[in-house]
Amino acid sequence: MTGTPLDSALWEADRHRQALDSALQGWRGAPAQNLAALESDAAKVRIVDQLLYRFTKLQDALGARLVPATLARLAEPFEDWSMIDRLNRLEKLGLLQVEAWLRWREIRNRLAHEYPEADDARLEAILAAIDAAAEMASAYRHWRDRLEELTRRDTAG
Amino acid sequence: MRLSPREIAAIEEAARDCFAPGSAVRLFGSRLDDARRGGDIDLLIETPKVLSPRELVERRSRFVARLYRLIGEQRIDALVVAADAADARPVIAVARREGRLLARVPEPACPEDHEASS
Repeated sequence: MTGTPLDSALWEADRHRQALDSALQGWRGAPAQNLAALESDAAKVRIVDQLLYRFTKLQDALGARLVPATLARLAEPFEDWSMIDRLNRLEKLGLLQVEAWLRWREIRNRLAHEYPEADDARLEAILAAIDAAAEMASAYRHWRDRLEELTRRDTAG
Repeated sequence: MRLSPREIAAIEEAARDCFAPGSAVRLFGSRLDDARRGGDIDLLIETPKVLSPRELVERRSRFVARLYRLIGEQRIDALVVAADAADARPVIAVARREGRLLARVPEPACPEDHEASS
């Protein structure tokens, strides 16, 4: 490890993604069919907690560290750009999809602030977060591959 | 009310994209109070028909994501309920009582066609 900001951002994101993958595997092995089945099963609750925690951590690592590190690595003059401009640029470069990113932000923020849900929406909100976590884990893998491709082209040219 | 015209326009646009015609968006909570500062944007969205829980979560998420794109990421709490449905949550009662109408999703254009078909 050479210790550039990009290396450390990737290292951190990899750690969260690995934990997220294992939580996703745990969930898929025995998903809850309804809210009562989830809430009465301590092991399931633990898996969901782990999953939502890593979803939040991975997203925060991507937003706070990998976004700027990626743009810096690609020599983009991003310092004065707003977050949405940075995201739009990353989308143009084929690294992520802004629409999906903003949806994950909404889900993350909703988890963080614990807004009150109607009972029947609670399970759906959890399921939506689990779907978003799976999407984000695979989007991160794509980001990593695409970044490698872009930087390889960079050094080759 | 502490929302800029740009924020109100964004809320209207996002509501049009995500909720059925006839849906109403109301502002409630701390942003109604001119004497305070900051605070979440608390919105009550009342839809003409009951949405399934899945649909509700999906549309609410799209609505807030749309707002993030239009006005940047902010603390937005969007509550979605059917207009005439009972809801036991105290926050819904408060929102219904004090909420101030911001936007209503318009019925589709060509009102004559619409009337003829209904």
